[in-house]
Order: sequence, then structure tokens, then C-alpha cells
Amino acid sequence: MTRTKRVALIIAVAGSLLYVCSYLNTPETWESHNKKGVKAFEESRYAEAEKHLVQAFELVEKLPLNDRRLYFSLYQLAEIYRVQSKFAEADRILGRILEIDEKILGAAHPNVAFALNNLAVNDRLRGKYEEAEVLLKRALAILEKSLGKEHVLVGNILEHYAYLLHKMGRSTEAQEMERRFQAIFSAQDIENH
Amino acid sequence: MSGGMEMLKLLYIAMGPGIAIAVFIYHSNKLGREPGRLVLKSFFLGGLAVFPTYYFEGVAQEILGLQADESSPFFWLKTIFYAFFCVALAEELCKFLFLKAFIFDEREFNEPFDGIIYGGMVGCGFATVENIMYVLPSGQAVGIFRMLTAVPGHAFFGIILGYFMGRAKFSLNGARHLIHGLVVVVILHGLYDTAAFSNARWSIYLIFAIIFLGIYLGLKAKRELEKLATVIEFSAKQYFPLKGHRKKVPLYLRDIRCLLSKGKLVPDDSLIDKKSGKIKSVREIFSAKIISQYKGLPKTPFSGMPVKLFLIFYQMTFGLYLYFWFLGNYRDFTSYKKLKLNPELLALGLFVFTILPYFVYGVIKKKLLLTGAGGPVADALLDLFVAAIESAFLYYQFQMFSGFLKKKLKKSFSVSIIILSFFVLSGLRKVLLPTIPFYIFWEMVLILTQGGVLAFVQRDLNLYWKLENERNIH
Repeated sequence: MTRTKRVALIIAVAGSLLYVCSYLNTPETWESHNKKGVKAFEESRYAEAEKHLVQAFELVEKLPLNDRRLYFSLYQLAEIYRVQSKFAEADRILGRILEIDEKILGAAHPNVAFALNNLAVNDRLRGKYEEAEVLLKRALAILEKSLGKEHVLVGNILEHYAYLLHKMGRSTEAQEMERRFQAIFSAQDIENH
Repeated sequence: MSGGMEMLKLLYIAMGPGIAIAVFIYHSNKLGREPGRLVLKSFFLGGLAVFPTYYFEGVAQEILGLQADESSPFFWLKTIFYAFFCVALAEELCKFLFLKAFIFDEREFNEPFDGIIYGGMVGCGFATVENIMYVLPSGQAVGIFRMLTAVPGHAFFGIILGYFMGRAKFSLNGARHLIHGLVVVVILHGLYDTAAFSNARWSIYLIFAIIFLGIYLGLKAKRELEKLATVIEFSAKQYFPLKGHRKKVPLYLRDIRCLLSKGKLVPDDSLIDKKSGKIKSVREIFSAKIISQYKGLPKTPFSGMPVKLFLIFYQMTFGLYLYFWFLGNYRDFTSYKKLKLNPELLALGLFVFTILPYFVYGVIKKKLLLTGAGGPVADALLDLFVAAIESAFLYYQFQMFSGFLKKKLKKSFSVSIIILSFFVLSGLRKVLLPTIPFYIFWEMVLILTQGGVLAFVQRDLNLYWKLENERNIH
């Protein structure tokens, strides 16, 4: 056997064995679970996506509240539950996001308003219109105070509120909200042009 | 789609292109077939080379800390170093080493062109195994992207490496050719990987440019050694061996090749030129210098391509074989009829004109979407436009064939019917929405039907070449 052949053989055998060992010993990470979860989600395999996203969440559950991975995992979980119409589970997760935002950013931060809006969407989808309205009113108050009454994000919440009011059969109030958010959006359009 | 079906589909996407290019390379030797055992061995060696290199790359990645973010001041330095020395060099060196250790000294590696076959096989084996490792966890989109980039890249880098291996085995300064080959493929591969790892916006253009360059150089190398193989097959030069019982029997180059494969001669053996009386080793006799005899040889016979094989290629490459087929047909006619055409440029034109509109449209669409324009109708119109471009390129090629075929065949294919059917099928395939049930099944059916339409042309071409060969023999 020539020297080249011996070297090639050693590389082939040892390298392959080392690769197989490293492959078998690779632990699942938050990233790998997330990657698999997102892929399954994109391919509409929701049950599988949920399994991976829950596993990813469990790996970061005990991390400090300001860790972006925890935040990311919570949002992913809320989305996968919502897509599968598991509204009670989604509610639990969205509630946790709200808690974290309130603790870290303070109750008057715009992010708290978005968390409230997400909870309101979930309640609306469950048919709990009254609870959704309470949450939206809180969100609106926070945004109007922090960003001003004419801000485009206030317009977005108003749009959602108007839609909810229509669902509740309160058309007059809904039209009032519609007038408000349309005025905000038109002003925004003029500004952009 | 169930998990099992999904896995099968991904396996098909991952393995199909590599195997198809391997079959294409195997059948590209028109003057003879290499032994299947050695061809398969090369393919598996290429696949095996993935594991040690991946282990090395993983270790190198950890040491270099490439997970660091792109804003790090050493990001580019680390990326270039990793791409060239940890990935390109490791992968190409491993392929090179396996080729050199397990294939290079085989008796059946008995002419320079064999390097193209075995090198290409190692490249395809590597591409196939690597593709499985990428596509199964990452999905269809990655598979389709790699089908256009990494798979042909590895296959043609393998061909380039094989070209230098073939030259090295049959020349007096083999080491120089070996180093030259390794340097060329490491540079090409390193540039490709730098672009791929950089995540920069422009990287996609560089990736495609490197792949084009790799394919171009690979085809050029293949063409050159094809000429050399033709010279070996048909040259009238004769030599006397210096040893053995055949000392008084003059040998043609093809006889020398045959004796090499039987082990009765080795590349270092010397022979005497019957005409000049000069003593030369087999290495010198089979060196690239003999290409100069090519022009004086009879016209190269073409064997065409079995229709079944054509359909397999077409199906397994998801229709991408069209470009190679288009190029091959132009090459055969250009060389046989001494036409003043540039087949490579025409094939490149077909490729660019069928890819470019999507890039341009993508850029325009981004802007249009902001104003609310664009949408499924515009997408479908673009698909039909590209199908029309494809059909136009084929139309001009088939018109040319038709002119030649009509003189030889009683009844040849109808250009207008073939082109119209091709356009309809190509358009349908392009506008097919991935959201429809059993999408992959319908796509496969359309590809097969499209290949079936072109198979009529292939059938007539086979008949034509058969008649031409018979005429040349008589």
C-alpha cells in the first residue's frame, strides 16, 4: 500500500468516525428547535411546529426576563397556538408577554399597548368582545399618552377598535372610530407626500 | 403531504441533480465506457469525502468563532480565511487525495480523458451526499437553490480537478499539473464559499458567476480531452514496444490504451516511434501535444443519445438538462457541419435570457408592490414570456436541425408542433401554483411530458446520426 493510500485511508476512516460521533453527540439547542419549528410552521405542519417551539421555549424559560430569546419564543408560541385556534393557550402566553413588558418597560410603555392589543385580538377571536374592548381601551390610552392622539399607531388601534365595535353591533360608535383613524391616516398620507 | 412523502420528495430533490450530472458525465465518453465498478467507486469516494471535511470544517468554525456577528471587525478576514482554507482547501484536497490514492493508479485510468469521468464522479458523489445533509433539514427551497449552484459547482470543479489528474498521469511533469489543478479548484471554490458565507446582497451574483465560470472551464477541459481521446482512438501513428513478446508488432495509440488497461504496459514504459525511430514513454505519447493531430482525423462520429436516457436526465434534473442538451446538439452540428456558430454562447444566451427576466421582474416588483401594483397576473405573464423565450431559442435550433434532417429522413419532426407543445407545457409548468394539491406530482408529470415532446426530436437526431455514421463507414 502506498503512503498516499495509507494517508487517504486514515483520513477517510478517522474523519468519518469523528464526524459521526460529533453528529450523534450534538445536543438540540434553542436555535435548532426554533429552526425546525419555523420550518414546520412554514410548511403548515402546525402540530410538529408546536412541539419544537415548546421545546425551544423550555430551554429559555428560566432565563432573565429581558433575554431576547425568551421574548422571541413566547411570540412564536402565541402565534402557533393562535393559528391552531388554541386561544386559551395563546391567552396564557400573551398574558405572560404583557407581564414581562410591564415589569421591564413599565406600564405606560408603547410595547405594553401592543401586548394589550395582541391579547385583545385573541379575545375577539374567542368571541369575548367585552374583555377585548377593555384591553383595547387601555392600549389606546397608553398610546395616546405616550405618542400623541394623532400618531399612526394610535390609528391602527382605532381601526381595530372600530372593527370590534362593528362585531359588537355598535355601528354608531364604530363609525366615530373610523372617522378618527381615517383622519389620522389621511394626515399621514399628506405628510408622506 | 405526509411526513414520509415529504422526506421522499426532499431526498429526490437532494439526490436527483447529482446523480443526473453523474450519468451525464458517464455517458459523455462517446468512444467507450469506463468500467462501472471504478465509476461507482469514484462516486462513493466523493460521498465519503464529505464526512472528514465536515468534521474539520466544524472544528475550524468553532476555533474561528464564526458565529460572531457581521459587524465584528474581523468578520471578513475570518470569512475569507474560513472559505478558502477551511472549506475549499479541505474539500478539494480530500477529493484530490481520494482520487490520487484510490483511482489515479488504476489500470483502467488508461487515457487523460478518464480523469474527466473519475474527477466528475468524485465531484458528483460529494455534491449528492452534501446535498442530502443540507436539503433534508432545510427543505425544498434550499434544495432548488443548491440544484442550480452547489451541485453543478462541485460536479464541474471535480471535472476540472479530473482534467489536471488526467494530464498529470500522462505527462512528464505530473506534479506540476496536480498542483496546478488543486490551486485552480481551490480558488474557484474559495471564491464561491466567500460569497456564500458573506450574506452580502451582491453575493448571489458572484455565486452564479463562479458557477458559470466553473461550468465553462469544466466543459472546455472536457472538450480538450475529448479531442485527445479521439486522437488516441483514430490516430494512424504506430509504435513498437521495447519489451515483451510484442516487440515486432506495431501498436496504434488505441492498442497502447488497451494494453494499459490490461496491465501489460504502464505509463512509464517506453516505445519506439515506427516512423521517426524516437523512443518515447507512454506518458509522452499520450501527452496533450498529440491534440495537434485532431484536425487531420476523420469526422467524429456521433452516437446520439438513447431516448430513455434523455428522459431520465430531463426528469431527474427537473428539466434543467435542457440547457446541456441544447448545448450538446449545437456542438455536435457545429463540429460535424463546420458551422460558424458559438454553441457555448448560444447556451449561455438561453440560460441568461430565461433567468434574467425573473431578476429584473423581482427588482421592479419590489417597487410596484409599494404602489399596490403587480400580482398573480403579472407573474403569470412573466412566466409565459420566459416560456416564449425558451421556445424561441429552441425554434431556431430545431429549424436548423430540420434543414439537415429533411435531407436524410423520410419524415422528420414538425418544428411548429414540437415548439407549440413545448411552449404550452413550459408555460403551464411555470404558472403552476405551488399551493395546488399534489403540486410536486403535477410538476413531475409536466416535466415528463415536456421531456417526452423533446424526445421526438432526440429520436430523429439519433436516426440522423446513425445514417451519417453508416455513410461515413462506407
